[in-house]
Amino acid sequence: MNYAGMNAGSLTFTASLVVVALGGPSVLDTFQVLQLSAYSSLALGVVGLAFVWGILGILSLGHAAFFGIGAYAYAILSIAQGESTFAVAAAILAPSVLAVCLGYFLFYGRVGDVYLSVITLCVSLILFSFMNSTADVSYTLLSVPLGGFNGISAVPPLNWPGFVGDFLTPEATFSLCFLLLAAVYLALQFLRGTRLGRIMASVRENERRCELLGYDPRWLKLVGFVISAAIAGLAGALFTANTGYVGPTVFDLGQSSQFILWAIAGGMGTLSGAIIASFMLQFLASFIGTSQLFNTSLVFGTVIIFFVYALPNGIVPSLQGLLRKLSRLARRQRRRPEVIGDSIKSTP
Amino acid sequence: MDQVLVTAIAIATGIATLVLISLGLAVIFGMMRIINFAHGEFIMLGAYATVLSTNAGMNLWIAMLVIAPAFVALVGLGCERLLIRRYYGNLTTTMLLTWGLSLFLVGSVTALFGNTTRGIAAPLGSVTFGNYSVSVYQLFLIAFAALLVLGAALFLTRTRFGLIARGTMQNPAMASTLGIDPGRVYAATFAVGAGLSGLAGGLLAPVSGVLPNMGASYVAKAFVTVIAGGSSVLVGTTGAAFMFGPIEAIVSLISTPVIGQASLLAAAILLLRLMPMGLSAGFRRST
Amino acid sequence: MMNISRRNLIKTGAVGVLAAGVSPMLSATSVFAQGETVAVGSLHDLTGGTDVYGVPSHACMKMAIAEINAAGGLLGKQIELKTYDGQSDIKKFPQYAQQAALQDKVVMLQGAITGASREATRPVLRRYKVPFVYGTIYEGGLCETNAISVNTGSDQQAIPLLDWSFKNLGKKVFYIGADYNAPRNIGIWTNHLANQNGGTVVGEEYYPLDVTDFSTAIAKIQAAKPDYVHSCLVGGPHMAFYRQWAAAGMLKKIPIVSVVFGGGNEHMVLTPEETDGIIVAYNYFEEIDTPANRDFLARADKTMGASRPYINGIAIGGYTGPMIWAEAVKRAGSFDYAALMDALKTDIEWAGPSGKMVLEAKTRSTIQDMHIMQVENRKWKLLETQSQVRPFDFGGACDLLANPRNTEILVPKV
Repeated sequence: MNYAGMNAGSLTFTASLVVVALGGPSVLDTFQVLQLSAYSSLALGVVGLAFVWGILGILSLGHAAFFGIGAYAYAILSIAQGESTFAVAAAILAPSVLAVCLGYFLFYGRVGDVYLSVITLCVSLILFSFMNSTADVSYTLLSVPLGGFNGISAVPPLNWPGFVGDFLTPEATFSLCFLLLAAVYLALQFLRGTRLGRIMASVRENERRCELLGYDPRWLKLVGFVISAAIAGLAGALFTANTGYVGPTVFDLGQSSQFILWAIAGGMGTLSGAIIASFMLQFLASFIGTSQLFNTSLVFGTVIIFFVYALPNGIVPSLQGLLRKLSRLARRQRRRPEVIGDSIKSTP
Repeated sequence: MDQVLVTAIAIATGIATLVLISLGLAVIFGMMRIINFAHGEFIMLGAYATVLSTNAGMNLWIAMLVIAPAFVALVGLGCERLLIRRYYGNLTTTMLLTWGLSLFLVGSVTALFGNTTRGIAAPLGSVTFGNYSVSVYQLFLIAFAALLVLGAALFLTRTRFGLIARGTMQNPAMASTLGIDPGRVYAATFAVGAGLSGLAGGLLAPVSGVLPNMGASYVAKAFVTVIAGGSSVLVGTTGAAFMFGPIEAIVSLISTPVIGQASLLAAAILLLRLMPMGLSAGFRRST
Repeated sequence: MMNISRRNLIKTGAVGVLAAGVSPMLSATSVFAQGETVAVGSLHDLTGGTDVYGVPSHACMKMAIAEINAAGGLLGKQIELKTYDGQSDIKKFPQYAQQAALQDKVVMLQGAITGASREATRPVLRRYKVPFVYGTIYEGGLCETNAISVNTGSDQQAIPLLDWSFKNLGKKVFYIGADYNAPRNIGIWTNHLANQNGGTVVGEEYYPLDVTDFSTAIAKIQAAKPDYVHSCLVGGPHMAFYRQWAAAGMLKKIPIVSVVFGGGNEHMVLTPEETDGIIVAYNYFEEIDTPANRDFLARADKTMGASRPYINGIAIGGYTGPMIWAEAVKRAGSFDYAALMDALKTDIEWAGPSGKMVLEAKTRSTIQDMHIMQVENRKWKLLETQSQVRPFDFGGACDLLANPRNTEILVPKV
C-alpha cells in the first residue's frame, strides 16, 4: 500500500493541531477557548466538503443539510435524554442515512454535475423552510419542541460518556474538538493515499475512463458522499454543544456558501487549506463585526475578490508555491518543482 | 367564475415573475456556464436605479424600461471586464468572485443610500372581476414577460448577433477562426444578461420592498428555475417557469405557502432525477 | 473513529482537569469596574437582512450612553459602549454574547432584536450573569429575572389595538403573518382576543420570510371577506404585500391593522398611496406632541445629525433601555449583579420622551402609555391613547417575585 497522502506536510499539520488541542487551554483565556472550540467545529464541517469536492469532484451546494441535521439531532437527543453520548452517535448516523438515500438517488440516477449541486441545495432549502414552519408548539420530536425560526436554545454541552450531568469543562471540550479535527484530517489524508482514495481521484479526473477500467464510480461517489455527510453531522453536533443553540439558519444558503467559500479559499483539493481558511475567515468575520469601521458586507466582499486576485489557487497552495520559489532561489537549482502531495491540480 | 379567473391570474403572475427573475441568470449561465451569485444584486441595482431616478423626477416607465436595464448592463460590463474576464471556464473561481461581488454590492448600496429608501407605487390602478379586484400592473407584468420571451427568441434566432453569440458559446475556437472575437461576444452577453436582471429589478420595484438585501429572496428560486431548465436558455427557462409557477401557486392556495415553496423545490428535484440534464435536454430527446 | 475518540477523551480529561485548575472562574462580574470606566454591550444587527431594525436601535443606544456620560457618568464612572454587529446571522449572537461577558466584561448587554437572536443570546447571558436589556417590541411573555424588557410585548400592543378594532371596524378579522415564532404567537393573541370580543377569525395565513409574490394571499383574503385584516408581515420582502394590496385597489376597501407595521419604517419606504389609513399601536412615535418629546428630538438631531433615522416604536427602546437600567443601577448603588437584581425587586420609575414608564418588579416588563395611530402621508396621526397599559401577567403565571426561576416564554390560552 502506498501512503502518498501521508507526507511530511500532513503529519506536521496533524501534529500542530494536536499541540493546539493539548496546549491551548493553558495559554488561552476562557473566551478564546470557547470561541476556538466553535470555530473548530465549523472547520470540521468544511473538511468533509473539501474531501468530497476536492477528491471526488462532487460539488454539494447543500452541505449544510448534513451539518444541520447533525446539529438538530444532537440538540433534540441531548435535551430529551440529558446525556450526550447517544446524541453524538445519532448526529453522525442521521445525516449518513440521508446521504445514502440521496446519494443513491443522485449517483445511480446519473444526475449531471451542476444539476446534482442544485438538488443538494434544494434539499437543504426544503429543510430550511420546513424547520422555519415548526414554530407551533404541536411540532415536537421526543417531546422536545422544534421551535421554528427561534430554534432550540439552552442545549446542554457534552458530558463524559455515561455520566449524566458530568459536563466537560470548556477546556476539555476545546481539546476534544481539536483532537477530533486532527483525527478526521489524518484519517481522510490516509484514505486519499490508499488505493481506494486514488481510484476516487481518478473518478474526478475522468469518470468514463475509470468506469471502462472496471470500477464503479457510482459506488465510489456514494461512499465518499456518505463519509462527508457523517463528518458534517459530527461537526453539527459539536457546534451545537459549543454554542448551546441551533436554529433553521443552519440549513440556509448562507451556511452552505460559507462552507464552499472556505473550501475554495483554502485551495481546491487540499484539506489543510480548508481548515486554515475557515479559521482565518471566521476570525475576520468576528473582527469586522466588532470594529465599527466599515460595513461588514463591504469588507467581506472586497476580501473575497482580493483572494481570487492575489491567491487564485487558495491559501495553502499559494503559500506552498511561494515557499517552493524561495527554496529554489536559495538552492539555485534548475530542477523542476516536485509535486506536493497535499495539493492536487485544481483545473475543474 | 370570477374565482377561477383570479386564480388563473395568480398562477400567471407566478410564472411571469419566475421568467423575469430567471432570464438574466439563464443568459449568463446557459451561454457562459457561469453561476452568477451576484444575480440577486443585479436585480436590486435595477430596482434602485428605477426608484432613485423616479424620485429625481424621471418618468416611471422610462426609469423602469430604459434606465434600469441600461445602468445594470453597464455595471455588468464593468464587472465582466474587470473581474470575470480572466476566469472563463473556471466554474469555482467565477462562483467565488460573483459571490464576493454580491456582498460588495450589498455593502456599497447600504453605505451609500442607507437601509431604507423611499419606494414608488405601482401605476395603472386596478380592475374588478365580481367579488375580486386585481391590479392592472400585475396584468401588465404578465404581458410584458410574454413579450420579453418572444423578443429574446426572435433576437437569438433571427439576428446576426444572436447567431454569433450562440456559435461562440458552442465553439469559441471555431468562432475565433472565423474572425469573431470571443472576448467581445462574452462581454456583450454578460452585459445583456445583467441588463435583463436590471430590467426585472425595475419592473418589480413598484411591487416589492426595495432594500439593499432584496436580491436574496429571488436568487434561490432563479437558480432552481434556470438549472432545472437546462442548457437551452429560452425553452428551458420558460418551460421550468411554466412548471414551477403553477405548482407553487396552486399548492399555496389549497394548503399553506410553506408547503407551496417546498413543493416547488421538490418538483425541481424530481424533474432533475427524471431528466438529469435539465428540462430542455428532455425536450430535445423526446422530439 | 470511536476508538480514537475514546482514547482521546481520556487524554483530554487529564488536560481538562489541569486546565480547569488554572483557568479563571466563569464569572464575568467578578473583576468589573476596576478602572474609571465600565463597559456596556450593544449587540444589534448592523448589517444584513434585519439591519433595518438594528441600526436605528443602536444609534439610539449610543445617544443614551453619550447623555449618561455627559451628565457625569454613572456612579462616578464613564460608560464605554462595546459594539458587536450580529450581521443578521443568529449563530453570531451566542458567540458575541460570550465575548461580551467573558472578554469585555460588560455589566449590561442590550440588543438581540429578532426573537431567534434573543433566544440564542438569553441563555448565554443568564449563565454568565450579565443583565440582558431587551429594547424592542416583541411577541410578549418574556418572564425571566435576568431579562429586562423596556419596550412592549405584543400583549400590550395587541390588546388595545384589537379591542379598538373589534369595536370600530367590525367582528370579522383575517390574520396574515410571517411564518416564524412571534407572528404565530401573535396569531394566538388574535384568536384569544377575537373570543373575548365576540369576533371571528375568518382566515389565518403564514408566509415564509422571503416570499415576495402575494397574489394568492390577496385572492384568499378577497374570498374570505373580512371586516379588517390584521397583518404581522415582517421584513423587506414582505413590504411587497402592502404594494400589491394597494395596487389591487384593496387599501380603500378593507382596513389593515398591525402591531409591527412601521417597525421597519415601512411607512417611509412605501408611498402614501400604499399605506394611508393603516392603523398600528406603539408606545412611541416621533409625532407625540409633548415638551419632553420635542426636547428629546432636538437632542437626537444634535447627536445623530440631520440624516438620522426615523425613531420608531422599536428604535426608542435603544434609548429607554440604558436609561431605565441606569435608574436601577443608581437604586442598587453598585454595578454588582446581585445588588442590581435586588434593586429590581421593587418597581423602577422613569419619565422618558413617551411619558411615564414603570419597570414592574413582578414581570420585569414595563408599564407605559400606548398610542393607537394611523398613517397619513408618511406621518402618524393619533387616534386614541390608553394610559399606563400593564404587561399581561398570564393569570398570575408570570410572577418573578414568587417564582424567580422561570425562563419560559409564556403564551396566552385561546
